[in-house]
Amino acid sequence: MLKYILKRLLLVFVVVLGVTVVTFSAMQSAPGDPAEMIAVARYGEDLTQEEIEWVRVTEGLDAPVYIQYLGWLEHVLRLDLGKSLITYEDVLEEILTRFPATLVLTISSLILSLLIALPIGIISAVRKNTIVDNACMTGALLGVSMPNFWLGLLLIWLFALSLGLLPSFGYGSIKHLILPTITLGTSMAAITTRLTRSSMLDVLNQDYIVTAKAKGLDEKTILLKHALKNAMLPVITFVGLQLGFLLGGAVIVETIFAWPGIGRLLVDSIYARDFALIQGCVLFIAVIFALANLAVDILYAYLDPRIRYEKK
Amino acid sequence: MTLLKIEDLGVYFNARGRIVKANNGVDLEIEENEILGLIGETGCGKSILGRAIIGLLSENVEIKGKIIYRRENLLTLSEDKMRQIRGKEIGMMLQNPSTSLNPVLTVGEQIAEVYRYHEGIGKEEARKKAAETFKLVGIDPERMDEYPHQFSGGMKQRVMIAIGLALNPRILIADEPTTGLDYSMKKKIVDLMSELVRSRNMSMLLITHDLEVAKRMCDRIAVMYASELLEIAPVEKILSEPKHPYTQDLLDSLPRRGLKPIPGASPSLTSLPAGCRFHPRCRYKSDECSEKHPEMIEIEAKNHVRCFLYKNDENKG
Ligand SMILES: Nc1ncnc2c1ncn2[C@@H]1O[C@H](COP(=O)(O)OP(=O)(O)O)[C@@H](O)[C@H]1O
Ligand code: SF4
Ligand SMILES: [Mg+2]
Repeated sequence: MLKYILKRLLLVFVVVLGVTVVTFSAMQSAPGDPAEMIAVARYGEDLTQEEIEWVRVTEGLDAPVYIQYLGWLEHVLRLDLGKSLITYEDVLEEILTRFPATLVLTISSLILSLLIALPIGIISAVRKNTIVDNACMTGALLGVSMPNFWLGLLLIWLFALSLGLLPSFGYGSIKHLILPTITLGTSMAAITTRLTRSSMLDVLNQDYIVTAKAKGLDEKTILLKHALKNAMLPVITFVGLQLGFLLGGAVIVETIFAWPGIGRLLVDSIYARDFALIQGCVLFIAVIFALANLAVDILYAYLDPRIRYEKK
Repeated sequence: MTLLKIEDLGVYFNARGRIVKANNGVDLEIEENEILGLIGETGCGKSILGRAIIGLLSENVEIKGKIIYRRENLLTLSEDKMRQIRGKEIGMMLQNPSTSLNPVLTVGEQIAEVYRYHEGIGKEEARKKAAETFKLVGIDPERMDEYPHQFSGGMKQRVMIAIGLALNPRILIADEPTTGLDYSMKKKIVDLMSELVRSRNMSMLLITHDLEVAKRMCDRIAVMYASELLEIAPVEKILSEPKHPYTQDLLDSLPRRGLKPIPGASPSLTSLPAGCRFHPRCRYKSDECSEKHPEMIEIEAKNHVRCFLYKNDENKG
């Protein structure tokens, strides 16, 4: 198992490295002169050509791309993500102050989505093709097809503007957390519900479920002990992948609700063309994503003895 | 004494609008202390008969007839009552042990849970009983904490036997318990099952398409073809003088008897031929055979045949 984890960590490293190369080259090929945009952000609209050149030289923007990249990478390996090109704040520090907000939102959304998806998915599977099942699946379909920003705006309109029950944006209390969590959590729940249902249906058709019934066990034991653990295997893999979706969804939801997380930070840094900050955010998100997937794989191996023993 | 009596059993699946007649007019009795073999080609409805007895067919099914056990019709019993019968009165070993054991539970737990659930005993005690059962079927109790995928085919089959016998049922239904095992393992499993069933005065319905296994274990044999029974007879009798043309052909197809395949193919269960189900493949067929459906008749004591070549005892000369 330890060897397996080490192998996977190496893979995480390779993936993250790949992501940084891609973002670095993407930013280079974006239109506009980066030195000029930074200079505008720092000194305002009226600039002289000297000021632009000054930025270009001091920020090393005149060197070839691969030199810029290697220089950046060397610092990263020393856990130094550099300073914001605009505010001069330390990038890592900036990210770490913003990260808790994203983490809170992600975890609360994940929990909400599982609280909705697991029971409904299981009930739908057990009551297959009944009114209950059809109602749940219609709801899930609506959830899947409803875009995040649209649901977010709808909730703001209903609960904040019309009813005045909850704040429409901001951060700091449980009340602020509710609307963004519902927006992000329900959209995730929709897909997880469908997967839980189909996985459960698949498992309920397996021979070992017939064996369990032939032992005279009751329905509860069969569902919760024999079926659920097997049905959870694909769901767990999927939820792990969805963490990426959550981080991506967080960008939109954080923007709508003015939630001061990494998503907002990334969007702001893109508008400002703050390369150091963009790189830092992307790197950070990639690392979190890869580590989350590793954690899921370990959990999976723990639940599925066939993998646990193979990987020993 | 008859322990279980199946009367005119019909099992009809509705598979996307098409009716699959998986069992038709099946009459069969399982006696006390008897090992009854059910043989026939793959797809003829053997497993469905076993599953019907224990009440575990899928939902898209219509069931007719009666299955009488202890004066009660199992087909009309409530789920609660059936649960009391499953495992305790009638044990079941499903076909294919590699898919019939739960991959994420230890083999020990898959037996111990039966004791906890049915006998209401604690964890430790249930484990002890499971260990005893493991010894009985020839598995080292040390292996209780292993998972099914760590077991070989023969060992998995032993776990299936342990599950089937755990609660000491009156009847054990074993569905193809020797499929996929090599010759020596097959022999071991057959001897183990015979020994356990006989020593406990249990009855057994042995479903198999392996005539050698049936011959080694069974007292009587029922031959199934295209969802109905064609012949029932004591094992020596059926092997020495098979009556039904299909039984004769089936025996001739054995390796030991010349490996002569039966010409033609089994009919589809969605469109069974009129008249005798076997007539398209039968060398003795007459006009009657393609028009009328023969009834099962007792041509000699304990020997039932469904074929126009034979008449009732009384009708004979
Ligand atoms: N759930 C089902 N729906 C429709 N047809 C089924 C179902 N289960 C079994 N059958 C059909 O019933 C027939 C008998 O199956 P089975 O009893 O498993 O045969 P075997 O004699 O090989 O054990 C097969 O032709 C199979 O296709
Ligand atoms: S009834 Fe006719 S067709 Fe059927 S087995 Fe007998 S002889 Fe052959
Ligand atoms: Mg079968």
